[in-house]
Amino acid sequence: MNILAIDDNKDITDMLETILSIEHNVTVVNNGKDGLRMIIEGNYDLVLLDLAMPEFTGYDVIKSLKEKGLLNKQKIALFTASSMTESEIDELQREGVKYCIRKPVDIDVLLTLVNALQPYK
Amino acid sequence: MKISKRLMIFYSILIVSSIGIVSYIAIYMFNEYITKAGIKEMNYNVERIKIEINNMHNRAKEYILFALNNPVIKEYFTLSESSINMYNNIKFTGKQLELKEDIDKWLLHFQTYFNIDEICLIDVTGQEHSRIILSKVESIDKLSSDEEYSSYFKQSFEINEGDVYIAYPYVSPDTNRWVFAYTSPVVLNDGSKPAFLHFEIPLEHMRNIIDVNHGRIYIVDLNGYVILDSENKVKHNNSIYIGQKPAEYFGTLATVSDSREFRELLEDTKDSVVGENVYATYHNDGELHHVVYSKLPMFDWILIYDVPHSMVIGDNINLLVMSISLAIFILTIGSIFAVYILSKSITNPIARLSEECNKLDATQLKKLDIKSNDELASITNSINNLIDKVNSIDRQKEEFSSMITHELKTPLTPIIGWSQALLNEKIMGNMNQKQIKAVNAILSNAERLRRLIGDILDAQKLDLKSMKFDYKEFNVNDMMSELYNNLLHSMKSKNITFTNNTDIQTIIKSDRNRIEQVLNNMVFNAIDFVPENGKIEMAAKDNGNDILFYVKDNGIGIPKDKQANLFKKFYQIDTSAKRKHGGSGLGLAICKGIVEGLGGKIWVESEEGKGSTFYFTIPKVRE
Repeated sequence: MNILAIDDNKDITDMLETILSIEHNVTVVNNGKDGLRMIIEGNYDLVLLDLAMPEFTGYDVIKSLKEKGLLNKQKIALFTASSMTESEIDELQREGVKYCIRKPVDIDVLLTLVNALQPYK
Repeated sequence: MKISKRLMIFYSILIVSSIGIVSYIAIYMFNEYITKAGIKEMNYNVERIKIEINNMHNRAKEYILFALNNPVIKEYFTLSESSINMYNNIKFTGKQLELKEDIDKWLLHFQTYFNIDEICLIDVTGQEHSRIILSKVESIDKLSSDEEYSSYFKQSFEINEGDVYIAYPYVSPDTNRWVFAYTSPVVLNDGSKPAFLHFEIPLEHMRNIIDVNHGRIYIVDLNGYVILDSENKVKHNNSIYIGQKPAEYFGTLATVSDSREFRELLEDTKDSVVGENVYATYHNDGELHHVVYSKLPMFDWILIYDVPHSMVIGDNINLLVMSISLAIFILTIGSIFAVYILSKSITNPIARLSEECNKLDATQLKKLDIKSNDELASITNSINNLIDKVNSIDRQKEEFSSMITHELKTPLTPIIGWSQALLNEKIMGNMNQKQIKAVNAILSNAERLRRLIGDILDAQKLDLKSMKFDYKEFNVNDMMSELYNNLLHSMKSKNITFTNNTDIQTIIKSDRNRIEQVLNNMVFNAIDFVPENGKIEMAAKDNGNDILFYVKDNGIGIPKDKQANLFKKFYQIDTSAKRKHGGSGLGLAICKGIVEGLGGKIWVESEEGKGSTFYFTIPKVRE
């Protein structure tokens, strides 16, 4: 599975790369702008998206994808430490971001969740 | 006291007292006015009576002079003296008899016409020449020597032709009544006065004159004897006899009232001037009496008109008091009603405001929606501003806590992630025992930090009452079994005997995750406090309407005096315990918040040194 991890914290992207690359093909990027560009250019089975990033946030990424009509075509799982309000969650789910992994996460849980999101072949 | 009540009482007192004052003034002024009018009327009556008494005397004078005007009388006495035997037996000449018959007829006619008691023609010797009593011609006689020498007899000859002498009342020998006697001489052409004409009018005739509608009139002589009393109540001697003195017959005014004021008033009357009316007052039996008195021109008699105050006022005052009472009643009812409306108009908006404020939900403060353009609007505005501020503070709190937790969770992510990765041989390869121990220590402390952050967030939510519960049906036994299995590995480090004594299959509708959180918290607390090889037991029991959960340990126990504070935030039994059993201090406060949020109760039973049991109930179905 091709996975793109977008997070401004390099320690986290390194960790994700290390853990997930045993079973998957992982690409990491440390800012939202590059992340967006890579989503548009590349072909990823799953994008792990951090929300709170400087300059260009996860929300901005989602907004841009929505404007380009790509949001429904790309499977995105939020990977965030933010405590979102009910209305924010509702809003994101309505727009097609259906998955959310809360930071910090146990790696067993992370691996299970990522595998669960794997498309059947 | 409520504002409306205070207003009601205040205004009622104000209105009732002002109505009372106005009524008092009205009654007072009316009283004054009526009294003045009454006194005026009394004066008028006194004047009228004086005139009528005067008229009575004048009429009598006119009658007598008119009677004497008949030339037959003069002709009768002009006849030669020799023709008349003046002594004992009168022998009339034919002419004289003829004239006497004429005189008798004239006087009878006269008496009948003028309604006079007695009329009598008497000569200088005291011999009667004609006598008509009560419309009957009586036999003539000679006066007794007493009468002959009385001052009345003498006086009658002393006055001039055309004058009339009025004698002081006496008892008439013919009618045996007290009478006024009027007399006037027969004067011949040579100026001699051979006889006089006399007639009597009973004193009683004056009673018709002194009749009045209100009060009482007396005529009193200079010695204080009541000659006449309009009510005829003054006691007098019952027997009347000829030659009786006034003092022997008439009563005194002392029988009317014996008050000092009245006696003084009577003394004053004697000094009054004829024709002048004097107003005076006295009190009798506590009642005010108005008096108008006046000295009459005749005999120095005094006319006294006495009216009690109640009679002056009469029925008028009762009518006035009644109408004022009615007015007060209507006004009072009306004004109390008006005050009620007014006070309601003031307090209703306040009540409405308080009602609206009571309706406010503390977790979701919404602005008040009260439409008004009076003072209520400004209070509403102030409250709304306050609500805005509270809401913004709550928002800031929420934002702050979400920021803090985010900032804490972010560094925890790589710590936990990397530590777990290190322990995973597939990812990072093998480590030696020392390394594994070090990474485990990092990991367990990171886990503790994660729990602490979770607790802070939960406490914050409970504080702001923003925790949402997710009610779903589930089997209590399933939950307890899963929980037991998950917790089992945490018992290893202290070699604790952990049991789950749940034997019910009840399905309840509540928030399973939150209940698990409470039980987790209680079990972890127990793990902290039990000794090595300790015991922890947990169970769920069907308790009718709710499920009773408990977690029991054989730990150090909790002193009685500390138990009450146990569920408060950041409360730990002592600082040494804090060091040994590092908790957030939020756990039990959060448990309490969750249990109460789910509609249950939480409590602890504990004995120092023997262990503690934490209980909580959860309703099977939340209404």
